[in-house]
Order: sequence, then structure tokens, then C-alpha cells
Amino acid sequence: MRPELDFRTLRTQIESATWVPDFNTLYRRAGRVRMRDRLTVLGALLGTLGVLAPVALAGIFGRPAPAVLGPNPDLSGAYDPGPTATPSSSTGATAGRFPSTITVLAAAGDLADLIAAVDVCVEVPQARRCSLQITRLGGTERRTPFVLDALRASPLDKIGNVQLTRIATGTYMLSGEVSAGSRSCVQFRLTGDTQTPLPAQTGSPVIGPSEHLPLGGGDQAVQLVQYGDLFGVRGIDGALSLVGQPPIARRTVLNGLPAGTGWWVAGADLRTGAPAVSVSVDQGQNWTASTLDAPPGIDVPTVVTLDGRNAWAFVRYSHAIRFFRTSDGGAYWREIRTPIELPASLKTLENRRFGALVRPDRSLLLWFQADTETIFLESNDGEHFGVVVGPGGAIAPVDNGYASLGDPARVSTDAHTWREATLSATVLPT
Amino acid sequence: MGDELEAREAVRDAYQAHYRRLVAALYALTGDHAEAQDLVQEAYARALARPRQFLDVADPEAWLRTVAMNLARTRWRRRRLFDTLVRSGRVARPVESVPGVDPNRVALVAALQQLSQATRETIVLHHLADMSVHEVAEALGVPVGTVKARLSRGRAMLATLLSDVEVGSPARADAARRRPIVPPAIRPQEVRDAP
Repeated sequence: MRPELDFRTLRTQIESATWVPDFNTLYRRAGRVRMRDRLTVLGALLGTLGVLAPVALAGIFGRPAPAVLGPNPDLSGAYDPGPTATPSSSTGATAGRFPSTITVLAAAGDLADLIAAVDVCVEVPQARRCSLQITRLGGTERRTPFVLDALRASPLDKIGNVQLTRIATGTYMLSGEVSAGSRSCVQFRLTGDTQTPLPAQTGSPVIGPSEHLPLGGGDQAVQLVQYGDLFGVRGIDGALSLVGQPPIARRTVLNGLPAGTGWWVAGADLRTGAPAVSVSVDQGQNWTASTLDAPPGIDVPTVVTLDGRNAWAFVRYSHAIRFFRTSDGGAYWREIRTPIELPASLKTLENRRFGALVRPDRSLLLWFQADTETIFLESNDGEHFGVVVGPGGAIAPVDNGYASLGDPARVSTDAHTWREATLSATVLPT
Repeated sequence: MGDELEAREAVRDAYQAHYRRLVAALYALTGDHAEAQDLVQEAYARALARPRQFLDVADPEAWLRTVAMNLARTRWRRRRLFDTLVRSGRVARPVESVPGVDPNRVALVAALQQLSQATRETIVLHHLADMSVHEVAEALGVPVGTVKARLSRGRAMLATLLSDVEVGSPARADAARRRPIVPPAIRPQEVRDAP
């Protein structure tokens, strides 16, 4: 190697000329290196977050809105409710491009002055909007409903088990289970001038009473919540009163019984859970309770009576009906062993509405809501039942008669012969 | 915690053993003694900051040299970008003398700076770091033949460059006395490797 390319001498001279600093000075420099490393990691994280966060936010908030917030644009066009009064027919009216339906859910009052709770719905796909209204059923036709948008907090809420009870002259209580929740009640009073359109009157929520009031023989008992306490209703003003409670569980008071028949409550035995019936003839001061010979845990029995002495209790199983009879006002119940032959269309009784009534001629009428129709069974001797033609819908006992809540609605004084009842005007939900 | 203390001791030992040698190699690579010391100290600081990583190193000197050389490359790239933007691409800086170093050796370092980066690294690793041709090839990730070619060509270029200094200058002693030493006869061109 040429002398000028003497790298060994170069290295020796540089090593000799290099001063070695104190090693401890490197610690501070190492600290800065660590800090740089952490900042680098932090920057990488922030950068990644900056890239991914918008994507994540878009994934969360950019999803299509739930169908409950409005109609699905893929299925239909825009919804234009249009506050149009509908004719009294149950279907066929339209709101914008969507058909509307009217379903009679309950009825109460005197046959000559009958009112009904009707659910008026606009069948918007995936966003069915409904309004529960009180309007007249039969009698003089009204141009507007008495009560609008009752019980529901939103037109999209589902509602079930609606009950309408006249608790005093001109005063009614409407209750129902909204969105499968607990039962809620409103109380309203109808004005005498039924020709005058009422404002949007939704009634006032019913609050349980805090005192005992003197009650008369014709006063009724009501429940504000399912299986809840009973309260007496003073007939002259509709005021609620505390009363003694029947000694059974799952208390379900019978509505629509004739005056003077006492207070009848179906439920379950407190100890065994078997179906039981409790009766009071002194407005809740004293109760008698009887347990039916049936296994515990099944539905509360359906009890019907016409005079307060003879009564029938029907216990529903999944595929059969057992029934009991009393002739002494509910003190002793005897099972009728004659089986009720159910038609083939009633393969199961689960999740089907079921009701019974005693006609004025003391014959029995049962009704079952099947998949597409309501099936009626009749017994003239109180033991043997056979399928008969009925009014077409569930039957609600009203003062001086019965109302069929089918399509069309019908009314009857004896539950044998039925006539159509015109439903007064309703308003489409907004 | 025990590993960290052990690693600190290992760094301290490496500091005492290899610091000067690494500075010499980096000085030959960069032509700047102060920067060479800064690069080597930065490499040791990184070893201290990542003690466990340093404990796993089989050859501490090679690891430190690699870190320092990578730092030098990074700085050189940054400087080239800066100079490209601000100073019309003139990256090369004059080589300053180091007290106690023969002017002929400083001229050698200055000549090294005229070589391409790859050739310079190859020569430094082989002649100043005492690495074999195979070790240099492995360190740089190139074939052995390429290393040999670079060494041969680099030495020839250095000889030419240093001969030009001798011929072009009035006297070598005069050139050595000039401070700072900027080889005036060396054309400001970068000698590149053949592809």
C-alpha cells in the first residue's frame, strides 16, 4: 500500500487525538433518546388514531337509521299523514300513499250511548303509526272523537289489553299495556253536548286514592295496574276509594258484571298458586275465596256470572278448557266433567284471546280468537258446548247488552241477535 | 432491573474499549471530527436507552458502529436535502484538521470525502475497522466481489486524488500548514461507483 494510504497511522493518530468524555454525561443524552422514542410511539399512535377514528366514527354514526325512526325509503315513498277525517269503515282509507286501519279494542257504556276505544293506524312499512281514540259506537254519529292519542307516548308504541270501563255516569277509565310494559290508566269525562267537537283531550292519569270513601251497592271495583290492588269507584262522582283486598294472588277484577252481583275477582291461591276466585258483596269489606281443583301456575280463570249466585269459571290449558260451576255465589265450585270439544282450527290455546259470557237466557257463549277468525262455542245447558256462528269479533259486555269488537262492530241486547253498529269519525294519527 | 444494571456496565465497558476506534472510523467517514464524536456518543446513548437490546448484541462494537453509521447516513441525507433546497446541492464541506493528526492523514480523509458514499463506507470498514472483506460484504449487504471492486477502485481513486494534491500544490508542507485544510487542487466532483 502506498504510504499516503496508510490507514493504520490515520486511525492511530485520530484515536490519540480523541478525548473520551465522562461516561456519566451519556445518561442525560440517553434520557433524551428515551423521550424521543416515547414521542415517536405517541405520534404513531395518534397518527393511527387519526386515520382510524374517522373510519370508526363513520361506522358508528354513519349507519342507516333504525327503521323505527321513519319509513324505509327502500320500501316505500315519503309519508304524508294529512289530517283527514276518515269514514267509519274500518279499512280502505289512506294517508298519503299508505292505507289506514281502524281496530275496535274495547267498548263501554249503555247500548244507546256506547263509546269504543279504537286504534287508528297508518300502515307505514316498518313504522306503523297509531292513535288510540275514544269515539261513539252506534247511536248518534259524531264528527270527531272524544279522546285523541290516549295512553301512547309515541305513535309508534304498541298497545295491548286495552280496557274501557264506565266507572260513573259520563266518567270512563281507559287502560292498556303500552309497549308491553305496565298498565297505564287515564280517566275522562264526556260532556253532555256530544255534538260539539272536543279539543284534543287525552284524559288525566289516574292516581291511586289515599282514603276510604263510603260506597254504595252499585259501585264498581277497578284496578289501575295488572294484578294490582282494587279500588272502589264512587258512582256519583267517579272518585276512587281504598277498599279491602281479596285474599288471593294475581288479582284480576271482573268488569262488566251486572249491578248488584258483587265484586268478583279471579286470581291464584296465595299458598298453592292454584286458580282461585274471591267474591265480596259488601264493597270489599269482606271477601270469600275458593280455590279451584286445578294445578298451579296456569292462567287466571275466566269467570262469568249473571246474577251473582250462578257463575262459571273456565280454566284454560294449552290444548283444552276445564270449567267449574258455582250456585252459591262462589263459596263452592264443582267441576263440570263434560269436555269441551274444540274445533280443529284451535290446535292450541296459547297466546289466543279467550272470553266467555252468560246470556240473559242463562246460556253460555265462549269465544276464541283463532288465526284468521273468531270461533264461538255455545252451551244451552251449561255442560255441552257446540260451535255456533257468532258476531265475528271478541265480545265485551256493556250496560244492557254486549258489543262485538269485530269488523264490522256489532251490538246486541241478548248476545243472540246482532246488529251492526256504526263507528263515528276518527282522526288519522299525525 | 438487574438486566438494566448489567447492560449499563456492558455499555460502560464498550465505551472504554471502542469509543476512540469508532470515532476514528466515523471521522474517516464524515470528515468532521466533532460530528464523528457526536455520532458515536449518540450511538452509546441509544445503547443506554435500550439496555436489554444491547445485552443481546453479540458484537457490541459492530452494533455501535452500525448505529453510528446509520445516524451519519440519516444526517447526510438531511443535509443533502437541505443543501439541495438552500445551497444548490453542495453537500461537501471542507475537512478540518484535528490537533495531533498529521496533515497527510487529514488530506487522506479529505480525499475519502471525494469518494462515493458506498466506496467510502467500504474502505472505512475494511481499513479502519479492520473488518475482513466478507464481514464488510455482510455488513453492507453486498456481494464480496462488489466489496473487492470497491476497495480496489477506491484505493486507486484515493491515490489519484492524493497525487493530484502533491502535483498541484507548491509544497506538501505548505499545504499541510494551511488551516483549515481544503484540498484546493481536488476538483469538486464526486467520484461514483460504476454500476
